[in-house]
Amino acid sequence: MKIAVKIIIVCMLFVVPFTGNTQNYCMNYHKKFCKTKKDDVFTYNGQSRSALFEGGQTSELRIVTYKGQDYRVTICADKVLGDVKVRILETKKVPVEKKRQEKVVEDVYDSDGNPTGETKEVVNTITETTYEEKVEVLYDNSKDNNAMEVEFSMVASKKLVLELTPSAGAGEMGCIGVLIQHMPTPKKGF
Amino acid sequence: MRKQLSLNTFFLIQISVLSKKQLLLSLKNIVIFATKVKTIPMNKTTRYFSVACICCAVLLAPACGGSDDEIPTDTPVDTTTEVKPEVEKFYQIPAPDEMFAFIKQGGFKYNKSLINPTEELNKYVSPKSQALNFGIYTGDLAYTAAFEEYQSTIKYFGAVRKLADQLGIASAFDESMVARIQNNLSSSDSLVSITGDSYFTIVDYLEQNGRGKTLALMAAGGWLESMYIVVNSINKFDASSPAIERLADQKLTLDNLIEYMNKYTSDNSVVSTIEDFSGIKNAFDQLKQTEGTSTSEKKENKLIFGSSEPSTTITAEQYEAIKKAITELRNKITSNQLS
Repeated sequence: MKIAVKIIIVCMLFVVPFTGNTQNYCMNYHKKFCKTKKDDVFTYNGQSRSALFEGGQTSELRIVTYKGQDYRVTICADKVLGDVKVRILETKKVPVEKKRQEKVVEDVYDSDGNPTGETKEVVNTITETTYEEKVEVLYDNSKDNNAMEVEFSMVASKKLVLELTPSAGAGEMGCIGVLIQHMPTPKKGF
Repeated sequence: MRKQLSLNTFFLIQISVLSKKQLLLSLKNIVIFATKVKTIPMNKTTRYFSVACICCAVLLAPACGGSDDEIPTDTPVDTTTEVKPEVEKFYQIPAPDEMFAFIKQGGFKYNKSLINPTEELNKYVSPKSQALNFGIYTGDLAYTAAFEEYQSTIKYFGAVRKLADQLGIASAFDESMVARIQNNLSSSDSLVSITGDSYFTIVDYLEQNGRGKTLALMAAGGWLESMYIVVNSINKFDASSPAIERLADQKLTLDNLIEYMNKYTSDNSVVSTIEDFSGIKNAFDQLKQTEGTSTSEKKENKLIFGSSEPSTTITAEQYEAIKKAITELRNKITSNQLS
């Protein structure tokens, strides 16, 4: 019995620190596992993040990138999740005008502007402006040998969407880390 | 014994990677397995070890995550209709240190009068005020570090720690971080790196401990302080200057900040903070945002993302309106005048 108690205690010591903490384990995944070049001139960007994914699940990391900066995005993932499809999108809210017709009943007036007591049905066309999200794909790693690292320069500031989809089937779970780094775009020439 | 071990290991690994639905099935398997253990001929140690492993497996079960609103096991699943799940969106905003590195590079001078004195710290009593001013002080900490104001950095690090203590997140800091600051006073790069690390440690800590609401308020305070320092450091409006352009681009950052706060609208403090920021939001909404065609081209092995037209333009009047709105709200927060 003593041996059993000891074994249970040892197992508990191993397990308890991770209990209720599996998702938290993913939190710093990008800091631990997304390796980049050692001779780095890039600076860590606070928009980096990690999360727990299920195979086939798509999640979006919406970041802000500034004009005149170079960015490097490095993706790292647990092997169980397979290849990760990475797309960089730009979403814009585009005004869309929609016309609808509305029937109203109006009083009929005579030539002097007095109501005749009759009514008529009038069809009014109402134009409403709504904003729809338009998505433009700036980068797709499936067209870049499934690269897990991409560098880009920003000529204009943008809100970018990093869209990630692990290829593994549903039921497979693991961490994905997104390490973002930045630096001022180097100036060329004298 | 070896067979028994591998069986137990299989259960543990299986549990660590399964979805909740499958997990429940696995737990069912474990129970069946546990009842069968008694009937399997083995010595006492092996039996107890098996029982211990089952205990561990059960303890690991809640760690497998998944939200509480997942489909129960006995709900029939429609296999003929493909339902595309709504994509989960995470909104991020750049940390204050990025802005201060940018303005330092632009030749701006350090101005001590722009930061919130640490003596004000005891005024902040309500959790909302503490969280917002925690953000304000983290912004000040990043500012002092970026401009190599070593003594002020120590002082503001102390203020941030004290407020963290009041917010119940003191364990986000440890003594090694304090020691790192004291040991690197002569190196501005290290100081910026350490204060940056401390900011990200706090962010991680709040996320890991389910304090998203506090993080939303802290991020709002940090962003506001960096904006306050920038608008009050600019001497003359020049629409083409990099600092003004970067200020106009904060329209994008503010959008993400508001979206992030919108995730926590179940909390009254966050809702009232969104309202507090509405003046600044309105001022930024006046900026003209031209939606040119996005461009993506590859030059010398490097991707270049741009736009056919400049994205955000700002006039002197709009700049003054933004400056006024930022200054008013920041001073309300630091003087504890928010409801």
